[in-house]
Amino acid sequence: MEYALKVTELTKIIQKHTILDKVNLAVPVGASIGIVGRNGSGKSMLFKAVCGLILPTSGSIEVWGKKVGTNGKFPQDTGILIESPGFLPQYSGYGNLSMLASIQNKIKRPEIEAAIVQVGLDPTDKRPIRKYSMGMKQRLGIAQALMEKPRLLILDEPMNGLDAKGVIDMRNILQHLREQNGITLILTSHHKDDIDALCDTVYDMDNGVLTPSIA
Amino acid sequence: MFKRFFYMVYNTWLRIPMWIWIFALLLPLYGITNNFICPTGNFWEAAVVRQFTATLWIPMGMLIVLSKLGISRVDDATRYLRMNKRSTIVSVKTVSAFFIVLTYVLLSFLVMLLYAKLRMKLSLTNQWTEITVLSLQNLDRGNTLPVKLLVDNFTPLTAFLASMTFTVAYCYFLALLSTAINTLCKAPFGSAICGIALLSNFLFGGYEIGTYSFSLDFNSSLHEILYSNDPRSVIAPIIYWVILITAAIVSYHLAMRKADLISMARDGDK
Repeated sequence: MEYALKVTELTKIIQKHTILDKVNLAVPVGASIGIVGRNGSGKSMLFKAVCGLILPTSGSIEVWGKKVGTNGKFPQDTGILIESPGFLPQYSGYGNLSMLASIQNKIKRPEIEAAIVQVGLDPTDKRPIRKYSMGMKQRLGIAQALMEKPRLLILDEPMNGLDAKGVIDMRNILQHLREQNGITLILTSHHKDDIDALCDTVYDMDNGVLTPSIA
Repeated sequence: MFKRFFYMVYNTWLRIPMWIWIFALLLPLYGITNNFICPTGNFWEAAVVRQFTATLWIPMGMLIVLSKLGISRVDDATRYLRMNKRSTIVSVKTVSAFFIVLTYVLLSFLVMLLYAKLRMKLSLTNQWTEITVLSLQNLDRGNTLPVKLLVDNFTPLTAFLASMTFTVAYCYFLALLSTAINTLCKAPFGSAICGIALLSNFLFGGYEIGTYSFSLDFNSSLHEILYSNDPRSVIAPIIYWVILITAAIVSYHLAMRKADLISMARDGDK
């Protein structure tokens, strides 16, 4: 079986506190994994480790078969939304995404605009981001994660700040991406409904220990 | 490729708030009002003689502008992942630091020049004046050779430009060093440490340290360099700065390889 993500015995200790405790996780291509747990349980830390932003004390992480983290490499073909994306408040939504897209230079204007439309925003909206509502910023954050058509999508609390309609829209978008594009999805959410609607497998995270959830 | 890199550098620039730039540019202005009391001569020679090109205020202001370079927040993750590897971040920040330092030094001099011209009514004549030559001789305790070398080989403007080049090198080295420390500490400790070192140097013995040929001050002052009585000695500080800047870049690379990019305390999540 081909895996999009493979985490083996991942441990992270910071100042004698065990943040991640021998975490093992294998996410097959096309699967959808949900991680639930209270604030401070280590969910975000796990995502940061997968993204190569923090280095493991021990263990290894492979994304698309390539090691990340200790070799200084970040995962490829991966879209992320962890907390808030660092948008420039003085630029418009399109301006921000365009600047992010220029880093890899894989997509052009039509793809950027399509991603903005996909999350229910207007690509011609000239307002600077600082005038956006919380929900609009969150939608744009999801658009930046989607726009380069990654094969793996890592979303930390993607429904935060969205109104009821926004949550339903976002579920539909993610569902569509899974069905049509075969995207692999890993997400956390405080809402059980999101997890139930979008995920095949659910894990519990508690004190840095990851265990399969018992329904 | 160039365009891509340009955007990454531009992005780093845009994250420095305007008020930090303004505050940092006021520091050299404070320095000039304190230090620049010579009412005669022209701006260029006064800048060289008074050495406000590379003493305290310009590097201090630069450390304020770059105080957050090297400190990553979880917000930065969306950009970092698109850069594919940590060494690209180092390249982007190294180039960004250079352009920010260059801009800051140029703007500092522009602000000082405007102040000198409009408020102090100093001329911009590109000619050595007798009073400057005499005061330099006094500074050199009667040794006329360094002054002769300076006056024979440089006009006030070229001496000013040469001094400015060394100032940029000095500031760039400090910027890279503080960025490497910031990366390791995930807080602006690098800027604080370098700032305290500059202040201590200025307050407790900068003059004495400045006469040692391996000190930062010595190698950033054209007048001190010429004190070795050989115009070819200008090559020595160039090599000196290349070595130091290379060492700082290597340190930053090593810091980036070993450090977590995100501070746990900052994010709230365990």
